[in-house]
Amino acid sequence: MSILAIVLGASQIGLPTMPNDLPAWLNSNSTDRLFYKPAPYNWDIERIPAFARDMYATGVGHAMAYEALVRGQASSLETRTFSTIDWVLKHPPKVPVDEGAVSPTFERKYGALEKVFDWAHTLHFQVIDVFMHPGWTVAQKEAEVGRLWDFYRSQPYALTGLPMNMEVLDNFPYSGIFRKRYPKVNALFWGYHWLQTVNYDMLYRVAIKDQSAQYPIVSEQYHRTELYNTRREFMPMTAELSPRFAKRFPEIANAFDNLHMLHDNVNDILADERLRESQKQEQVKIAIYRVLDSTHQNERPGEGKSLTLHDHRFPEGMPGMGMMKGGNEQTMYMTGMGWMNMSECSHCSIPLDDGPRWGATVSADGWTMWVRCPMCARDMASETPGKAIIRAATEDPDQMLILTSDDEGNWTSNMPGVVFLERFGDHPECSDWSRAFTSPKAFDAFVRQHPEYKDAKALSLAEWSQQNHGKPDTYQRIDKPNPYRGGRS
Amino acid sequence: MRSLFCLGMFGLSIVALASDHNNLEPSRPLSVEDAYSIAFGEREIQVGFSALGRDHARSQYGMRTEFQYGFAKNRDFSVAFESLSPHAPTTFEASYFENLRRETDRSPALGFRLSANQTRSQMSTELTLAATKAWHQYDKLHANIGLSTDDAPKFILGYSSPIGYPRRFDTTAIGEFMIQRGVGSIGVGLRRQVSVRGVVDVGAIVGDGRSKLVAGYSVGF
Repeated sequence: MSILAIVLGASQIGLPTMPNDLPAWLNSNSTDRLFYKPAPYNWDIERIPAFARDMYATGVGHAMAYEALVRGQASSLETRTFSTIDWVLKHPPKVPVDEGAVSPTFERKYGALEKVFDWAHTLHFQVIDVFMHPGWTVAQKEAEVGRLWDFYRSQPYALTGLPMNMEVLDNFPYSGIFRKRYPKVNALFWGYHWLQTVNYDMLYRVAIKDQSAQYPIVSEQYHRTELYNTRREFMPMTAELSPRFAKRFPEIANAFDNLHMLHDNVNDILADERLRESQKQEQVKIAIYRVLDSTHQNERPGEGKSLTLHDHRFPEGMPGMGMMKGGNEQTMYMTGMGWMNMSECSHCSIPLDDGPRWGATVSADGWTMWVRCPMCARDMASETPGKAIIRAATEDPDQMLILTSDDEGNWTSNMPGVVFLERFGDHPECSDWSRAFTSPKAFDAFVRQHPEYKDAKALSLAEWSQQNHGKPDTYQRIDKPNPYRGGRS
Repeated sequence: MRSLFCLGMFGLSIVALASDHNNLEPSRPLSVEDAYSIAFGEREIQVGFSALGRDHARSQYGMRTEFQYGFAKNRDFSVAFESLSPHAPTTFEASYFENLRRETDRSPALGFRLSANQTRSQMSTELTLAATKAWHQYDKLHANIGLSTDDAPKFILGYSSPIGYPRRFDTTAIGEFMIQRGVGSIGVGLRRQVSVRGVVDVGAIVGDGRSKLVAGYSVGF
């Protein structure tokens, strides 16, 4: 492409313009390395070594791809660079890797961006470490995650915790170029983001011993499918993969999504051959500015003008997620699942309960869905071939039931004495008559307090697993076209 | 000496937490340092052992223990004790380091260190200027100029290169050429990440009728 064509092309494509209030640090040549919050939980991620290594490898992949892009090696991104990254992902490093050392050229050119990335990645890791720290109560961990968020926000490089409209952020002249031109490497990027967001529900409120038991299933999905999934229409969102975490810590979930959207913006800018290097540097600064905490001071979640940079609406029932393409407060489109309402059970379409009777989530084939009761979870999991994880509330708010299934649908429980109540009735009351209990004793205590179930039998895991009530008649399919594929559903 | 031992043991007891093999610190293991401070909020303990041989003289053995603290962005201070046996007094060193700018396409990273050394009743101060610039893709060149109140100026040219890229990311090789009072010495060394924030280093320096072997461990927390 000639220089004239590049100049003409760039002037005609309507690039975003530099804001008047760009923070000074974005133009500074200071280094500003920051250390994580000192705490006893740091690096507790290593309690699941395979998970730690996979997380360390995600940084290497990002850095290698960026380095190739800024060194004029875009033509080999899908071949040589992909193979190199893939090797690292299959042989992940045992220790964390300094991304700047792997991408020195990129760091020289985009030093301010590295500060934003590094600081957000630090938050990623420290939240994981808190959840994996033994000896602390759930309340202590939740309080510490709140302090981590404050610690993160204390620096100017912090990304906003407000929900941002993803359709707005992915609708610039350069948007989508990278994923179209480099689908294999883009799949790797979105695969990393899948792992970086799916893990929080694996860890949040889950006993330390039960966290590692889930990782083989997560790891298999990550290594076999998610890293190479070129069919995904949009980047993975935190609330799609860790809905319980996103609902409890919406600001952090939003910050992670805004970080990942910034990654996508940067990928697209770097891959846009119409732009000169100076234009790329300017556009990267503008992209950073859009999602900074400082850009959205005094703005509130749920407010803002639709389809603008300051649109902070979120889907009903999910404050930890911005509006998605084609969606509204009631419905959103999710890759692999179609249209859905995040305030309703994904299996029976009845509104979800709040509080201690939060129901259950089902993870299978790369997605995670929130449902009202163990029965909905089981029956929904049975619709999808392959391994699955169910995380369900019990009568004890401090004990979460974790069920993992093999490829044949045989369930294993983290609670040897788990029993179930399942007296099938009308779905609007399914969270009343489908419940999980930590022990037969707990079941008996519940029945004593609820004589309407005096004839109900405490089902063992084996007995409960044999049940299946199929698709509920209350389920309402939302029939709208796929917003990412030109109207095709 | 007892306090040095205690400090050293403390460093070893927090093995799970610290440091980075890419960063070059003076004495860990060579003399050359890069132009970057440690991270804001980071604390680092370094413990090193050395064996010094001279032509026609008895060998000496030393231990150096240093504590660094990144008390502000791009700034750190450190205190260090170094003892050499036999027949050498303990040296106490305090220093302030400031990174002035990171490396860009147009200019190298720049930093400086101000340090004060006290041995018995003798005190000296030194200003070290440090520059770091990329060489080819992953390698780096480092230049240090040391100006001391009681010694001749010192010039060091250093070179660092990651080993194993793009398959391993845990080891950096280092080389240096130092000249002072018209006499040169060369050194080679290695820094390896052995835990999430722990780094082991080894090095050898020869020149001016002397040879020095160094091994150490750094941990940040």
